[in-house]
Amino acid sequence: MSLSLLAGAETQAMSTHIANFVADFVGLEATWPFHALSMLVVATVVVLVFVTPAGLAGIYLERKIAGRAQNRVGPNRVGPYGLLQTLADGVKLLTKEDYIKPGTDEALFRFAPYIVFLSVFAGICVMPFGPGLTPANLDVGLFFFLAMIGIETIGIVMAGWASNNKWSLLGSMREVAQVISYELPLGLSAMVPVIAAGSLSLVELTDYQQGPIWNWFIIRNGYYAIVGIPAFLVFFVSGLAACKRAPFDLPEAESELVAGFHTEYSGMRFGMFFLPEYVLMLTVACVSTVLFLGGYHDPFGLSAEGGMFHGVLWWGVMWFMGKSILSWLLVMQLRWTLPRLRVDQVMYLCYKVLLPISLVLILLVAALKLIEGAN
Amino acid sequence: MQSFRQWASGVWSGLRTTFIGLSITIPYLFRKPYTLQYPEELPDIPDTERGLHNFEIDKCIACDQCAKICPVDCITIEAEGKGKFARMTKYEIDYTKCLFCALCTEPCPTDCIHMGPTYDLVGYTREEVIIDYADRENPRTFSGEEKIPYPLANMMRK
Repeated sequence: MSLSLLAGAETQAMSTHIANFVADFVGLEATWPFHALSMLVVATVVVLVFVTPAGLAGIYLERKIAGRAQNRVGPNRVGPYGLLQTLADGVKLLTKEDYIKPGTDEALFRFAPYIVFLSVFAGICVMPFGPGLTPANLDVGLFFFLAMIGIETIGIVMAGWASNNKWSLLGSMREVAQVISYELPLGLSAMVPVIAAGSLSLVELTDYQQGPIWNWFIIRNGYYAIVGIPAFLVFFVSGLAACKRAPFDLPEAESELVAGFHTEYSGMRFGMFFLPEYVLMLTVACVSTVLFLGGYHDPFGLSAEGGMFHGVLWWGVMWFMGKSILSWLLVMQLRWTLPRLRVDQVMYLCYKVLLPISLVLILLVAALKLIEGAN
Repeated sequence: MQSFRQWASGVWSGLRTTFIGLSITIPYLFRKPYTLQYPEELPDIPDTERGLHNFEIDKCIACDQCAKICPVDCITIEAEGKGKFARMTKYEIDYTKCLFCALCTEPCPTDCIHMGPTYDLVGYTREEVIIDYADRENPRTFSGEEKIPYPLANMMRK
């Protein structure tokens, strides 16, 4: 099984294979429950193998970059170069007391981290990590990702409300206001490549950009750059706001709100907020890679159809993760570059800057598409 | 049109200043950090550092001058015998009191007490930082190169 994964077999084919195998084993017809279950298993394995280590590495990288930005060293004691620091912190979080303070709405309080965790990990399930390596290849993958960002907010509101703490409540209200506002420019700027490619499926969006670097949407054929570059910037900024990263970290503004919605959480419940935060950052970086930077295609056209590395899994994964991690690093660097915005500035940026720009970009790309079709 | 121009210039300045900020912070990633990896690395100590005393017991004649001048009375000296036959039994400096003023080094007729470069003395109890330099079973000297009374530091330096 692992061999066929390395050879670049479709995850779809793999899950069918597993379903047939299991059905054979128990002596039943391979009906839809088998297929659903095996798809679940494949998706879970891919997500666990790719995303959790990536999230842990992201926390390590963030701390390293935070250190270097302040002329410090960052973690360097646990394991070689401090690589095991995140694991040590995980152990610490696991062994801490699971404290729920009196006065909380206990059911909501306990349930909120799971919603955040599940929605974020579900959101990354639709990502095409490499050719044939999509945990869940949905036709509406982009839409699904946007929906999952919306659902994550519900978990955060629940956490803030159930905490019975005014700072938590204020933090979660800010989060809602921010994420709901920024979903508009996020979705609209994501529509720009969607209109050009004519699909919402992240795999098709990736394959639309195959070939050398001038086929990537951000500078496609040269003239698409007039919509590609601004759309990329709008998407990136709204993505920052959607995963509540600095300079949009108002929901957890330490200097004003202690820690925002997760003030009252401790131990692994806090960890369930913390890891998804980094995974969400990775998801947004991945989506911007898929939409604008050619997904798993390399800039030389080797992975295009007929190319030397067409359909080769490790080549695709390497380029995809490389591009995603680069934009992830940019997100981290921005945290140490820009001061936190005020609430009114956040709203100004969303409704008066990003939203009009993305609407104009949609008109422009539609016009470009029409002109292209006419020629 | 005027307000549109204002808006556009605001957007442009936001974008421009972000890139200016990045151009300032990104070079920091490639700069050497200032952090000193203590206790593996030690800071540079100036020659005139007034750290723990560097006491030469062989020169000492137990004249009690240092104990008398000490403004906080942190030096306790006990000796058996007189003059040439004097034998130190106790030369104790209480580092919970000592303020490292170096007054004790000045009246010494045999020049046997100096301020050393060692600064990191720790202990779990107060008694652990009262050091008896005349203890022949467990001699303590702090001239800089010898053993440091901090077990972790000793371990790391090896």
